[in-house]
Amino acid sequence: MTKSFNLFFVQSACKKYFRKRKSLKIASVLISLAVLLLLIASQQIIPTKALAERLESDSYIIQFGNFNMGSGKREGTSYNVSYTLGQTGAGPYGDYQSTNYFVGSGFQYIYQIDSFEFSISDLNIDFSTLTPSNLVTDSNTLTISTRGAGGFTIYAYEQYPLTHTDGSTQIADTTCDGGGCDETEAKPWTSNTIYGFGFNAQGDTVSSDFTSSDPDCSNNTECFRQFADESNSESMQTVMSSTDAAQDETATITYQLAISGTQAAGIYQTGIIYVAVPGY
Amino acid sequence: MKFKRKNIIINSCLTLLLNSCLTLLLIVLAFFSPIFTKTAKAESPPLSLSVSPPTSYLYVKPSEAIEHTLILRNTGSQDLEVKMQLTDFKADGKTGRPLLSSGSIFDKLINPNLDFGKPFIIEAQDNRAITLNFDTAKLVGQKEYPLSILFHAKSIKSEKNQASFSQVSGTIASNLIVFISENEENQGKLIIEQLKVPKLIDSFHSIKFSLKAKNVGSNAMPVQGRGIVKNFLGQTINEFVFYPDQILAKSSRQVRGLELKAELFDENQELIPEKVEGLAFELEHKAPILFGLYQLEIELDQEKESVNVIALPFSVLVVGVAGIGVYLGYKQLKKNL
Repeated sequence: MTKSFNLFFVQSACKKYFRKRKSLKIASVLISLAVLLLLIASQQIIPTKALAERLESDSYIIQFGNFNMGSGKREGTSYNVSYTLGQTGAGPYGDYQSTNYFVGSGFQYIYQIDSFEFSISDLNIDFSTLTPSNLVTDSNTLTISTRGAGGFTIYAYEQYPLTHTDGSTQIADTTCDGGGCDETEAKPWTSNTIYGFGFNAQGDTVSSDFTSSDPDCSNNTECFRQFADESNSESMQTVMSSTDAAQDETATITYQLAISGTQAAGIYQTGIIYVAVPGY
Repeated sequence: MKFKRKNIIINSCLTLLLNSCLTLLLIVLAFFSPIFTKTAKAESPPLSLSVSPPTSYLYVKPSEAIEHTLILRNTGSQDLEVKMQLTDFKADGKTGRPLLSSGSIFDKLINPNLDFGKPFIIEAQDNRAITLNFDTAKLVGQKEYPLSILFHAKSIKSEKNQASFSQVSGTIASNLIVFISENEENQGKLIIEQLKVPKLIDSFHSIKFSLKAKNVGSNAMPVQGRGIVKNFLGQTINEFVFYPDQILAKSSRQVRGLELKAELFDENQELIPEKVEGLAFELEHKAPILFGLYQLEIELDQEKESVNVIALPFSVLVVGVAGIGVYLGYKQLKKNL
C-alpha cells in the first residue's frame, strides 16, 4: 500500500515537473543540438593548431621525389633512417669509390657502415642419458641485432633426423600430441608416449604458431614443431622475424626428445642450422 | 727513547703504505690477468657473428667487373670455420623480407682469390675482410639481381666434441642487389597496387587506410610519398609520411608510414630518426567526431590517387532507431495492457 502510494506520488510529481518545464526541456534539447552542430562544424572547418603550423611551413611540405632529409646517417632507438633516402635528385644512383661502381644514393650505402649481428648461446644440444617414455629437453638462445629498419628473419633446419652413430637407425621428428605438427606449424606436445624430436621457440618475435591460442599454446613451452629436414628436401622454416629494427632481440629455443622402449641404445646426432637474413 | 719511538712509527707507516701499494698492484694485475680475460670471453656466446654491410646495392655497366667488400667479425668466444655461399632471393611481396632460393647466379664467376667451396677459419674476436669480384660479362639480361651472401659458421671446438652432442651452427647473410644496366639513371617507378580505405565510416570511428606499392621499373627505389586527409573545404586536416623502404624492381611492398608532426624535423627541416617511432602498415586519422565528406589523397612517386570517405553517425542513428523501436514497442505494450 505504502509502496504503491510512493510510486503514485513520484509519478505525479514527475508529470507536474515535466509539464512545468516543458518549454525549458525543448530549449535545452535545441541548445544541445546547436552545440553538437557547432562541434561538428568546428571539426570540419578549423584545422588543429599543429596542422596549421604544418601548412604554413614550406620546408617539409614535400614535392614528391623531394623528400629532402639531408644526407648522412643517424641512429634512433627504434629505427635508423638514412638521410639520403628520397633525397632530391633524379635517381637512387651516385658515384661511389670508382667509376664503374655505384651505390644507390638514397639506397643502402648508409648500411655499409652498419652491421648485422647474430649469436647462438650454446652450440651443443645435450640430452644426456635417455630413458624411454621421458620427455627430455635442452635449450639455447638466439640473439639478433639489426641496425637497419628493414628487420630480419631467422630460419631453421636440420641436416637430417636424429641418427644413430650406426648411420641408419633414426629417431623420427615428432608429430606432437594430436599428430598434427610438422615443420611449418607448432602444436602441443606434452605426452611422453608421443615419441620424436622437436623444438619450441619463445620470444617477442618468434613465429606466431608457437604462441597461438588455437591450438592452445598458452603454456610457454608447450607447442613444438619439427625441424625442416634438409635430407628430405624440406625448405628451411622461419623461427623469428620482424620488419622493424632489432636490438638484442632474443628467442629461447627448447629442444625436446622422447623415445620408446624399443629405441636402439646409443648416440644419436643431427646438425641444426639457423640462418639469419637481414631485411632490405 | 723518543727517537726510537719515532722510528717505529715511521716504519709502521711505511709498511702500511707498502702493503697498500702491493694490494693495489695485485688487484690491478689480477684484473688484467688471463683469468679475468678468460672469464670475460666465456661470457660471450660461442657463436657470434656480425656482417657489414647487411645490404648493399651495386650498379654496374654490362661486361664490367665490380668489387664488393664485406667485413665478417667473429665476436664470439670460439674459433669458427666459415663457408661461403651465394644464393638468389626474391621479394616476399609484402615486407622487405628476402625469400632465399636455391639458384646461384654468380657462383662460378665470383671471387677468384677465394675458393667459394673451401672453408676458412676466423678466430674468436677476429675479423676478416672478404672482397668479392663480380664479372658480369656472362650475364644475359640487363636487370636487377637480388642475391644473398651466406656465411655458414660452425665451431671447431664443438666439432671435436661432437661424439656425444648434436651440433648447432649458424649462418649469417648479407644482401647484395646488383643492377646491370647501360643507363645509370634511376629506372625505378612506383605505382599504387592496392589502396585499402573504407568509403563509408561511422562518425565515431577513424579513417584507416593501408597502401601497397609496386615497383614497375627496372631498379629498386625507396618509397616516396605521403597521404593527406582533407575536409570538405579542401583543407588539410592530417598528413602522413611514407617511410622510405626500398622496393625491388618488379616487386611489391606494403607501405609503412607515420603521422607527420613538426617534432619529427629539426631546425634544418631534416628528419630526426630518433623521433621516428610507431611506423605502421595501417595508417589512421583519428578525431573525436568525423562528419561529412573527407578526401584521402595519396601521393606515391609520380602517382596520385584520391578517395572520398563519407563519415556519418551511423551508431547514433542505430541507437536512435533502436530507441524509437523500444519506445514504440513499449507504447504498444502499454496500450495492449
